Amino acid sequence: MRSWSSLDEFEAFIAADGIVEPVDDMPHQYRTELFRFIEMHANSELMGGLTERDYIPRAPGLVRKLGTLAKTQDEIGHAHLLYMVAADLGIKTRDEMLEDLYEGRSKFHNVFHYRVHTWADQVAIAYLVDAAALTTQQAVFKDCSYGPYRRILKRVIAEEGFHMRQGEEMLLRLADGTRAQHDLFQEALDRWWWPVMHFFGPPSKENDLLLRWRIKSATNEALRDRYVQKFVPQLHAYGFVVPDPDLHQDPATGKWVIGEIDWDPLRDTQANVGPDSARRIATARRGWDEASWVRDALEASAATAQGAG
Amino acid sequence: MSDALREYVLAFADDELVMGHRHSEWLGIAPFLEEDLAYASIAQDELGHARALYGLLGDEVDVLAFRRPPGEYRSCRLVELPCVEWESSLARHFLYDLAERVRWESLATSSHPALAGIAAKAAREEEYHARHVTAMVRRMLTGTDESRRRVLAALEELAPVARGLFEPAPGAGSLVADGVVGRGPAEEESAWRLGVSGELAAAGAAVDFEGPGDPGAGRRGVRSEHFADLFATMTSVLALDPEAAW
Repeated sequence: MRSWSSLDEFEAFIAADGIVEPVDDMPHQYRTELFRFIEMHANSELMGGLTERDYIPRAPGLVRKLGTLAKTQDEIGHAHLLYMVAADLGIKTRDEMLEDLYEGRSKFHNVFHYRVHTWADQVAIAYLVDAAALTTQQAVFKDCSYGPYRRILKRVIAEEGFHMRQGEEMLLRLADGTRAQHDLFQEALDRWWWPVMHFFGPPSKENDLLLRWRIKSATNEALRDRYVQKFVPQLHAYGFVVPDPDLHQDPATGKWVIGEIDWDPLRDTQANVGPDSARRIATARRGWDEASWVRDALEASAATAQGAG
Repeated sequence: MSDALREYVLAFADDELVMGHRHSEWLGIAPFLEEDLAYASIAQDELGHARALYGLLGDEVDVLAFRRPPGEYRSCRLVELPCVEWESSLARHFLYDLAERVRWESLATSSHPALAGIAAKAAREEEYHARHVTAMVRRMLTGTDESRRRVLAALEELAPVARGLFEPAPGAGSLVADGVVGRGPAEEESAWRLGVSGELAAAGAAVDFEGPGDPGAGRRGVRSEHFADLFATMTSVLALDPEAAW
């Protein structure tokens, strides 16, 4: 176990590429900032799974049925791992985090406050949203100062990369498919583009502790820009229109520049009053509440087994 | 392929397809995260079995799985039930997977090499399903008064329905005679009842398999009242454009 006599000393350790481990006596504020960040990530993986569940039973064909199931299983598996990493920080147990989530007391990513209306929305999640998540996760993984999170992210990123490729393959079917399929994805793009832009987060704060302590390694703006440069040309190549009338290429740099972002929808999702927040949280909460007898039984049976042993 | 074998394979494949579909409905709302993961994994295995079995009947697996008229499906009533309460879903999972284990065992020495190959792989997976569900059922039966009452009630309700899994497909007798299937449905059902009763006895419980109704009607093309909704959901995207590839 390491400890630091002052915040300055801790920051020097972080600045010198130090890696913090759970046994270390980390500064309280580092612990709480880190916890909040990982809890939000865990919640988002779980709520992402719940967003996708509406369309798993509708997946067109056996290969898609298997693929979407495997993907959503991965997302919930990520939540499972991340809740462990978060719980180890000793601030809340997994059950406490879940209860806060189901009571609407904690947050999850904005994109999972929207509803899947068509199969193309499911594809948009796999292709656009997972790529956005991957962009931000890679940036955390690259230089994260907290050891367990970094190690888990390695696995998460490997699986997300696979989802993205699966998403790309599904997108190609729609892009090269019938007129109706092409239109279906265009409509999905119209719904998901701006939420994905919001996903990268609001304008950076002056002194962002997450950056300073290497919990993140790039600003929201930089990551969004990286994503835009990659995805705008791809979407154009597939014959889709990005729903941003002000989107243009800077003649000097050749870079894509997006129009002004309306932040109100992001604020709504952050307050858990996004377009589908209430239903999403209610579904999760109902499942949790209705199964309390199962968890009680497991506890009782474990206690009996322990008593017998 | 003989009509009898085709009927047999279809019945098994349809059960697996619908069972996998029903399990997949639990993703995200199971009682706790580990169970979400288990259901998702088991659902994929069952759908994988369906895919392999349909593959014996032709190349167009999705056409077989999703584009037949409802009357041509052979799934049994047990798998078509919605089972929206977790105890029902667990009881079904238990009755179904112990039966599935028996069904695959009957194919281990099949004279049909491809079928024997599918059975060998499936049997390995099935071992995990059975282990998972028997442990869970036992813990529920020895957990609290409430968990025992709920799970026993669900087992009581579903055990008679589950007998429909062993309703013989037309020509089943000839398959045994030809060595395609190691034993007939009646013998399989006895082995299954023994397995179920043995597991329950270990937790001081028992279940009555006899009950009213015609649980095997599904094998003769009679769909339960739940099939229409299930089928509409399962094919809703495919129905948007019959010509499209997804």
